[in-house]
Amino acid sequence: MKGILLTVFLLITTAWYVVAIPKTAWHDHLTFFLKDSSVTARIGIMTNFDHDSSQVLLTRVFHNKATLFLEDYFVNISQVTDLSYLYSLTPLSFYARDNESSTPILPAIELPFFLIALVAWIRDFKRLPKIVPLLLLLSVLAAALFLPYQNPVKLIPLVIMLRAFEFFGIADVLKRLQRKQ
Amino acid sequence: MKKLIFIILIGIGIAFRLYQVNSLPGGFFIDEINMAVDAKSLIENGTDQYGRAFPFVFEDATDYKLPGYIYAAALSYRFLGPTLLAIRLPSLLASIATIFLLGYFVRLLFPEKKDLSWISMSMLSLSLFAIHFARIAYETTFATFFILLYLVALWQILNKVKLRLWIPLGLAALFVANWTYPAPRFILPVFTVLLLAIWFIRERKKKQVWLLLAGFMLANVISFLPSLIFAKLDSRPLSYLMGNTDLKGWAYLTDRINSISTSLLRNWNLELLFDKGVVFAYRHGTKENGIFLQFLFVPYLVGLWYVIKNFSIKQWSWMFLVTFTLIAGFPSALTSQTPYATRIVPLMTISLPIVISFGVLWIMERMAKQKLLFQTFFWGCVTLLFVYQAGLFAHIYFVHFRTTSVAEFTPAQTRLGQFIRLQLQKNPSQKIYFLNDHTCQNWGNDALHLWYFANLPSKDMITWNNAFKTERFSNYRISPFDAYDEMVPPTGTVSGITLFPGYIDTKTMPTGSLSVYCGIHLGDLNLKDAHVVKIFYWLDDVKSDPYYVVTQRN
Repeated sequence: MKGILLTVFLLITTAWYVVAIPKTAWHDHLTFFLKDSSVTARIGIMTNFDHDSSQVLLTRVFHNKATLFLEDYFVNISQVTDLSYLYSLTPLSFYARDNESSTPILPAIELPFFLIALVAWIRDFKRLPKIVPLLLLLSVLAAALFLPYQNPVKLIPLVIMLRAFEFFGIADVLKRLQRKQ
Repeated sequence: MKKLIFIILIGIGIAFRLYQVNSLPGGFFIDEINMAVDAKSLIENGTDQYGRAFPFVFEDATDYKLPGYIYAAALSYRFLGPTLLAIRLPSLLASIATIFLLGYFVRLLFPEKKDLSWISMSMLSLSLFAIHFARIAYETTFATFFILLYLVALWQILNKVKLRLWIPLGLAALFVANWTYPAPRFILPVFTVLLLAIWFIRERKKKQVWLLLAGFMLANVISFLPSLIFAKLDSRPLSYLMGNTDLKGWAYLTDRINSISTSLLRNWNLELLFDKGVVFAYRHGTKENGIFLQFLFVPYLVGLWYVIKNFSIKQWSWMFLVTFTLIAGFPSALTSQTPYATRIVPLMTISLPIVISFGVLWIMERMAKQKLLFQTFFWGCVTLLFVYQAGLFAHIYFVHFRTTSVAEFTPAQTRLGQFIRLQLQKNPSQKIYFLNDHTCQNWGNDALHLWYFANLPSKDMITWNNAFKTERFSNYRISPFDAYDEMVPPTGTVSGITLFPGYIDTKTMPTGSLSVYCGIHLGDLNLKDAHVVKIFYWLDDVKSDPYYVVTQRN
């Protein structure tokens, strides 16, 4: 019964996103390998501080495309795990570029269920099939594999897995309530 | 061997705090310069910058300040004179002392985890955020040391250890913290009352401790008595609590809940902690570094997992730590939608290093069970990462930040004041005209810098400063604090230096006199009978916003 409910829940969530998201968003900034012209400019800004010619080697070691690429990926991970943004407490992601705002992702009322689920799972890993947290982790890593612009499409896998996780949270609350009764 | 490594790590963190501390950042930002002139005036005159004798509340250009830090800075000014370090020394010493006190605190809470206190000290010592705040004069670093001392005292009292020592120490820490910075004024009473409630519910039979906690709560209440006398003291922090007052009713309530929840959650954001830090202003950080070294995000996540997994309401050490952690996020969350650097210092200095340390300890314990070859490879990679990221921090702080920080920390004002002091030492009867107009970037206020770095006598400056204050309060319709940037300073003469708003034609100056021009193009100066002796650029790298020191030809 739980499995059926979870499947229906996931199908409805996915369908809603497919219908609701503008078509143009599907092919915007979706590639991991898209050349980002801002990288060279950013390296230029950083190296401008290093007036001393003896710093050339250090400049090249600390400011290069590889480190910027890794930093961007890290920033993307932190942005797609910003719960206040994911759960619509604020229209802006933390450190949002150019103050861009985005459409709400998940309703704020669901945040407590996610937190309950997270704490319950951490305290007892056996309560949840391993595949659910694993997929949640993969969905975070996948969502971060895009340019740092907020785009609802890249969050689809994450949103689905968050919902699945919340489902576990709701089930846990209900179970506890039943026990008390 | 392990201890030696931890000692080296702590030593590196302390070295980062001490290296070039008297020259980087190269000037004072507005809060620092106000504390500096107050400290100088207290030592020379026994008054604040407006002539009030040994005040409890210090009025500066933008705010009302609690007295703790300013009296401590006055003490170091007494020995170091008008230098950058004199005003920053209490912050620097408090930051270093906090490292060792945190180690002691962790050892008290978790005595069975022997390495945890060493790891916590290393994590705090290498916190990029703590290093930055150790190098500038902010009350929050100083107050955080006393918050931690209060926590240690409370823990010892709960365990009935050396009550004769810890009761007075705890009380002293409480009063100093609450009279230094607004954040402890929320954290300490709320934490004490919660601890009292939990203790009352669970350990009601231990009456002596219950009564002592109640006594500490009473002391917290007493520490607020000055607020009744000086109503303006808390008016600004309290005004922040209201949030967006344009909204009403349900909309206002939901906006406040969203704002507070957002800010609380963002205290734990990876980008804040490990990539950029607080980007509000350069006095809050470099904007290029996180609060901790980036590779520590792994032990941070492991540490969070460890704390949630092992937390038990039956164990006082966990209750103590987690309750404090939850409360410490609120001073920032209640007043700002994004973490506000100075208000999250207690959280980032006390709780976060402990959380990361749990992660490091867990990884160390797991690694100890692996084969030697794998261990060598793993710790070799960690060492490389550490060297790279510590090097990157050093590069950003000592190279980038020297340039990026000048807009807020102004070396030009420092050097100009020191130059004028030398001129006065060489020739005490030298006539100097200090000309200033609103086109000048006087956000840090030139006159206050001149007062401090040129070592002008406080009595004359107090008279001028009061005239300036009257100007601010009488001529501007907007808040006199916010209008500070647009002020035209009044005319005044302080030991041979004429402070003058606007510009005087160089022809009218006496022969041999010096005049300092700010906010004017060199082409607009009549240099027929004068020449430029010295130029101090506000933005040195692009040679812009200069102060010209001009002398009259014979």
